[in-house]
Amino acid sequence: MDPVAAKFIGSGISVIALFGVGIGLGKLFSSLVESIARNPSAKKDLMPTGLIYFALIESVALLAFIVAMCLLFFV
Amino acid sequence: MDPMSSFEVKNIIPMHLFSLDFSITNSSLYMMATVALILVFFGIGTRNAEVIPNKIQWIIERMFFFIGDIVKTNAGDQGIRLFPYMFALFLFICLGNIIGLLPFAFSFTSQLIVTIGMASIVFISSIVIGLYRNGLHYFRHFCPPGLPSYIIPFFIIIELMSFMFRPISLGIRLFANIVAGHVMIKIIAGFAVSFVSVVTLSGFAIVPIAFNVLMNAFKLAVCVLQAYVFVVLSCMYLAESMACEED
Repeated sequence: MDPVAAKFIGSGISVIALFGVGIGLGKLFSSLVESIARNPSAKKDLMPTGLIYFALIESVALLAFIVAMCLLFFV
Repeated sequence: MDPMSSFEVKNIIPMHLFSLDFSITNSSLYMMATVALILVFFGIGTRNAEVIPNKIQWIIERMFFFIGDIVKTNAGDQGIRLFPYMFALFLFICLGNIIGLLPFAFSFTSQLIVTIGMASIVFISSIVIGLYRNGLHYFRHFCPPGLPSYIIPFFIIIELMSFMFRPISLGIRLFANIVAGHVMIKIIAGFAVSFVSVVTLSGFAIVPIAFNVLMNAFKLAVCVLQAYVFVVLSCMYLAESMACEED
């Protein structure tokens, strides 16, 4: 295979990790919205926790992004 | 139009001392500018502090209580000693991210060495605080009591790995968020440029520009959120090493 083509295909494959990140963020925010809907007075306590775990899940997506960028620009 | 070109560290004033490189680069220049901005802002805000605060003093007090709440909820009452460090860390990261959003500016949090360095300070000081306050009992939280004996070796290895991965994940999270945002803005701006270069399609250039405005708003939120997450996580790590003396 042409090495340049392989580079582009590889960087495309590396962002498949976003599949799992999407599922994770969906589950996180669905349960966050559900718990706020059940108990609106707990929103003040729930939001910071939700945001922290949002950032934790998002970091997986960013690792995939770094791999893609490394393949595109530094290989 | 290389999207990575804005992350280059350029040497502005070369300085060498005994084969060590102390040069002032654009990265360190922006760090100094951030610290100077914080000092000036706090100097003006608290110069004639009153019981009824004026506007700048009110902003400073809000930030103060915001970080105070974070430290108190994550580290407990004894963790309030971490407050000055956490406050400085939050202001430095948050303002550094926001300064990087300005046009033609350099954001120093997009350098892996800066973020990993800040995360390593937290990591090493958590080990030192834990050893100082708990002695060798500190190592007990790699191996909680009540486990069957055949699991213990695997458990210790897994706990040790997740412990060693902390500074890396803490640093890479901040770094990757900032880099990803900047690269995305530049790629979308590149779409606008390539639309303009074709005469019949030049009207469509408004779409990527409008999207870029949205992206900038989103990135402003991400800047504050990442500083917040960095402070909360380092607070939790430091509190964990301080608090295991009860059992």
